[in-house]
Amino acid sequence: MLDRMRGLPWWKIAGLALVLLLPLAVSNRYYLHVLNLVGIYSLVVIGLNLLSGYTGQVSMGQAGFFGVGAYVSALLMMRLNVPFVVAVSAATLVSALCGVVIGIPAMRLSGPYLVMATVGFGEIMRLIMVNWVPVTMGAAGLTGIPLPSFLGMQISSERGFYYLICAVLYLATLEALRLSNSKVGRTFLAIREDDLAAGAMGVPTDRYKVAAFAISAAYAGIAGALYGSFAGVASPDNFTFDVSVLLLCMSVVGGNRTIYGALVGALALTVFSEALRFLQGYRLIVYGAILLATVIFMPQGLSGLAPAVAQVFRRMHFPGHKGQNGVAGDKGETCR
Amino acid sequence: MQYLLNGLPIGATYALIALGYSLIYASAGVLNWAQGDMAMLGAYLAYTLNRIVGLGFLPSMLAAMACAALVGTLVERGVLRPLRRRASPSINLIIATLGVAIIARNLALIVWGPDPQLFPSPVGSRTVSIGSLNLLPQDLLIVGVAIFLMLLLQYFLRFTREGKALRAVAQDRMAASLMGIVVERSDSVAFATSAALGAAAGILIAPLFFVTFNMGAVIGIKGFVAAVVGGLGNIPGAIAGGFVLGLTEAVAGGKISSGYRDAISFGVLILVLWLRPSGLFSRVNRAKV
Amino acid sequence: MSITEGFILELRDISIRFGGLQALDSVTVGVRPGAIHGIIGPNGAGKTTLFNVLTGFSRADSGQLVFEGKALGRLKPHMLVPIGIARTFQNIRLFRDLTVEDNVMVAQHVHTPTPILSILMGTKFARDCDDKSRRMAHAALERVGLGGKATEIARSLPYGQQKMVEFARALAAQPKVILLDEPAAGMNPSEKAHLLALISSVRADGYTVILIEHDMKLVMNVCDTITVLNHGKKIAEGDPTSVRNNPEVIEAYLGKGGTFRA
Repeated sequence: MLDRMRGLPWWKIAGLALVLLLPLAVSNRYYLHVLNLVGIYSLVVIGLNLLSGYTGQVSMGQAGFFGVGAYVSALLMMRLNVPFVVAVSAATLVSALCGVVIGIPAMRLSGPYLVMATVGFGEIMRLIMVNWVPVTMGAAGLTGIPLPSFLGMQISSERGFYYLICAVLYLATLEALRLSNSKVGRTFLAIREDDLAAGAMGVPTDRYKVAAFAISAAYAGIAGALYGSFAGVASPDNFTFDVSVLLLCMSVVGGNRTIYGALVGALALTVFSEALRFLQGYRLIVYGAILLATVIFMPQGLSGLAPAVAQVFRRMHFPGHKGQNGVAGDKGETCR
Repeated sequence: MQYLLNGLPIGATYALIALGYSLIYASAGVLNWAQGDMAMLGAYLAYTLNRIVGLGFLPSMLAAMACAALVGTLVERGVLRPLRRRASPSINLIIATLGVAIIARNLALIVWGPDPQLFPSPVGSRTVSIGSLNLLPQDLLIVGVAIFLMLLLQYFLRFTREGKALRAVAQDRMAASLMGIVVERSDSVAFATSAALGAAAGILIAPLFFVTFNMGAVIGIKGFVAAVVGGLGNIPGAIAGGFVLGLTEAVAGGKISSGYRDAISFGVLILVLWLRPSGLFSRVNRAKV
Repeated sequence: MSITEGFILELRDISIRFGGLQALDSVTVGVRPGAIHGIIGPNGAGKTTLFNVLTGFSRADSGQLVFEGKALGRLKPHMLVPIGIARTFQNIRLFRDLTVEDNVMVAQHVHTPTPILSILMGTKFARDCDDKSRRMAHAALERVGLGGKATEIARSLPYGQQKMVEFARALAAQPKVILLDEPAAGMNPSEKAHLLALISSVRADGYTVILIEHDMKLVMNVCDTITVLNHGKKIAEGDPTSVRNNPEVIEAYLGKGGTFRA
């Protein structure tokens, strides 16, 4: 492992150290709690970015999948005494299946039709949570969701959750990056840009659109399962349309065309939300205003600023470099 | 049968909201997420004018509708135009109107508070009985005014200059602008008209339900479902869709379950989107390659 | 070159009706392997409709599509490349925000199946598959003369080069038959010359080319066989000289008493 680390740039090692040592430095439990929430929401938004940013399928129903993950995991642990790891895995799978179920009708839709179909789906999920009382305990929801326990340990402190969430987030981000930088990612992008042309080039677009829904649902599902054990409670009020809106905000503000944008957006909005707590009711107005401003003036979100920032960084460190597009090996060949 | 009767006023309300969606979608090509909130705004404004300032019902309603029309114009100018100028993808347009909706909803929360307000019906709340069927006079008022407004809209679209311009823009934006029609102005007209219709819907339905800051959310989605059922962008379809949805909801909600009633509406939406996305009343358009 | 006798692609008795208009009326066209086959006709003749039927965007009311002797059932667009047919679009349908090489690599989709597990585990195999796609894409780009443009964003290229990217994309799909939809539209004379040379040289590599075109000079110079449509019917077919002198063809384009100058 150290062998692999030798090749890593200094800032990656520093970043890793920072992430690992953070809980020791932060003594305030509340801040750690907020960070943990950021981590959980990031998971959902990564999936949302893959679906909306990469594949171009807008979804305003992610809260539905989020809720499915929470409820399924919690119910399996509480009613059937299923161990944590199995419950979470099952919840992710069930959520992914829900993604397929909504993906199939959705694959023919676009624009406002698609948006509304996903809204509708999210609401149907929530209504099932409210009305299927014998299983979901209705509007009151589930309480006393068991803490994560595996390999003989039980996670009960904020610090413990921090490391668990970090680990899951790390794996999730890694896989998301692998997907997005591969043929799959390229195919998603092609579908977003022009799904007719993609089809003509042999891409089975329907299958990929459904897969995108399934993947985003899986991410939301695992996040939901973690959330259930983290918060200890799960009720339909945690998975409303407003939550889907919040997730969309995170996606848009962070930049939905990158994976890191999900993390940036979740962090930015959560920090913002906590910092502006004193604004009370005005806070949501500010949310709306941020959404508007981002979409009008900064459509690529915060992570869209990254190339510009990287350029400034590069110019600072390599003063003589002309630095056009920074692609290694680009010798500026011109077409004849 | 009673269910059908109950469904009529709801259906009429949905129809008005649906008209708003379809008008804007047809001419500007945008989904206006804040359409439902125009209903909320209209209701609150009329409530304030009527209950607090003391104006009569009709002047309050007209003033509220005018205000809503103004707000609609502002939204078009302040939000839609900059986005169009930057050639934003359509998802950004939808998100932008969502931002407007969030702002509107929370502004209302601050101005009028979180408590639901009571808006007494101007025609009294004594139930009228015809045989075995029960009616509220408000129901009649809703249906009556709604139909009047729809006829007014038809007149506007067919016989006035602005209305014809709107229809031209809806058919072919580029050609309309080449003919000398200022398309941005048409967009403003569309937004203003939709807002006024939405406000009317909100005012009409206010006596039946409470006026709350969140009422725009539900009615907005239902109105959208109605618009899609009739064919998004299809004006007569919006009216038909509104009534179809209202009646279906009333019957299904009565016979099957009231808790799942909203789920039924969404189920209808997804069904229509899957099987016939162009709506029940539209001609199917083939994609041009 | 090719082993099969007869036609590589056939349209047999294709008819299609849109509302009151008979867009295609029992059209039968046979394309020989390795040929450059042009389809021409005045506006509204049904060329685009024929193309849409060929590419699965429209479904004929009656008739058959036969590829390499096998009848094709209900053809959907994404079935084209696996069968061995690739197309370009009249109005350029590139993936505008992607790089040129990404655009072309998409065409390699069915030719580089990569197991999802390989991708998720970040294996060398997955990377090698991607590298192979990239190499094929670069080769196709070199072929059309855009070798140095691989990392440019597609929408930043001038129109003529975008058309070439589409051509490269079609090549990268490793087809047997290439369908070109008005490839010369909007091109200046030097670009057209380049296109002509490209089509001829591509035939030398064993591809069969079918093209719809309005530019008579290009068509007469590059095609070995030309099919002429008018009002949904085939009115002539043959080599350029015979088509040029066919009175029915002349009448269709120029009315009675006209002559062709090509």
